[in-house]
Amino acid sequence: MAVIKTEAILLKSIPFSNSSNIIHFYTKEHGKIAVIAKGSRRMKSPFRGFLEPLTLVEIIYLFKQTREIQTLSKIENIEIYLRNNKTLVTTVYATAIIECLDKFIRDIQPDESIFQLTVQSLRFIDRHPDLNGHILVYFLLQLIENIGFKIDFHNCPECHHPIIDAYYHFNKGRLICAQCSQNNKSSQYFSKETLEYLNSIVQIADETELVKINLQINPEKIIKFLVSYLSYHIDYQINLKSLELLHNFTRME
Amino acid sequence: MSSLPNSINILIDKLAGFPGIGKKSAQRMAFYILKSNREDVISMAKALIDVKDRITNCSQCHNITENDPCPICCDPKRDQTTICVIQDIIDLISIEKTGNYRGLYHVLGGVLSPLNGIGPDDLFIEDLLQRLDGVNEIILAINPTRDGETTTIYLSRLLKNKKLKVSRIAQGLPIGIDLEFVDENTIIQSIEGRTGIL
Repeated sequence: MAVIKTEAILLKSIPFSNSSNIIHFYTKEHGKIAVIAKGSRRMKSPFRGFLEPLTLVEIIYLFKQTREIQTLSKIENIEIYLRNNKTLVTTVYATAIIECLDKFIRDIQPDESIFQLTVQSLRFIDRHPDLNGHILVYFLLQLIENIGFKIDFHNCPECHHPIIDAYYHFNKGRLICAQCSQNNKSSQYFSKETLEYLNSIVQIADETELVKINLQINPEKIIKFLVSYLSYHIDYQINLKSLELLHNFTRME
Repeated sequence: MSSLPNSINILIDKLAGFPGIGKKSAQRMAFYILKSNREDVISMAKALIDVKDRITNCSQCHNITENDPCPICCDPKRDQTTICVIQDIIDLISIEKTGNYRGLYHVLGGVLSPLNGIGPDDLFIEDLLQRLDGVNEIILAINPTRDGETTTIYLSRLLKNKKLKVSRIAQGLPIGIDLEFVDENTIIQSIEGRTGIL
């Protein structure tokens, strides 16, 4: 049995028996793991208060190769995101980042760049809650690039000319310039402004560049597109439950 | 293959379906039932059926009850102008055990959970809004988890313009705990929500 110490992002917590929880983490060095936090639902458990989503934690767990669920030994907070947040929509978008990580990354193999991307996106949303939806767009675009399905916003794959406006063809899984596209029902139009918006977001390297985001663009439709794009390429349909609540909360803000 | 008679195996399977009961415990319980006298077993079976047949949810507060509305909603001695909003029936039992609260309750039946897709339509929120006539105060006694916080914020927004006093239960340290073992979040909440003593 090995004792492993790593940074982790809490994905979900499922009650188990009368007093414990099974926690799914995305860890920096060991990918996705599931651990049992024994007694975590008891009043005086040392795990209490640490097992909430939207936190970056350091965990120590006991690893045994033959077990699917490992045993959590210790947990400490490193960063708590949206601690004083009173905006429901921001909670939804931040939760959507976690849900994407949980649902799109099925592989248990570690990927430090995806881990860092998630931490950075959660930090962005914590510090700039007004950019909530745009930060989810940033996260999805970077995730798409990270797992190898980068969208080319610059050149049309048919005529190889620079793209000004374009249609995304779901049946072909490609973005094709308006000249080469024969508009059909399985395509989505992207205006010049939207493509410029996506281009500027994909190039964001640090927090200072968030100011470049064109706030006139509504990110909601683009998020839907990016989720279907990812679903198409990884070959299974994903519905983000968190985004289903968006309309309920948007009208309250 | 089990050497036990089929009826025992069925009973073990059913008992093992209870939360926290494994196969071994279920087996022990099944043999206890087998050894018990017939009258006890019949009364136990009747109790199980009665619970299913007679227990319903109160149409006002969604507490469990044999008579609708429930005894708490019908009790004229209780403060009819205060409603304590709770997540589950189990929370009502905990508050009632204290004997300290004399108002009414409203059971939401869960909390909003973006990660699990649980929205306002899945909870008894609309029913709460329907019973605000004559109410002066709403106490939000929802668990201080992320989802609980989301629900508290959502409800406070809904109740904002209703000319009611809306409060929430205090957050902080439980009695008998060592500060050393408390997470940072709870300590922050305790300091922010401190109360004067002089």
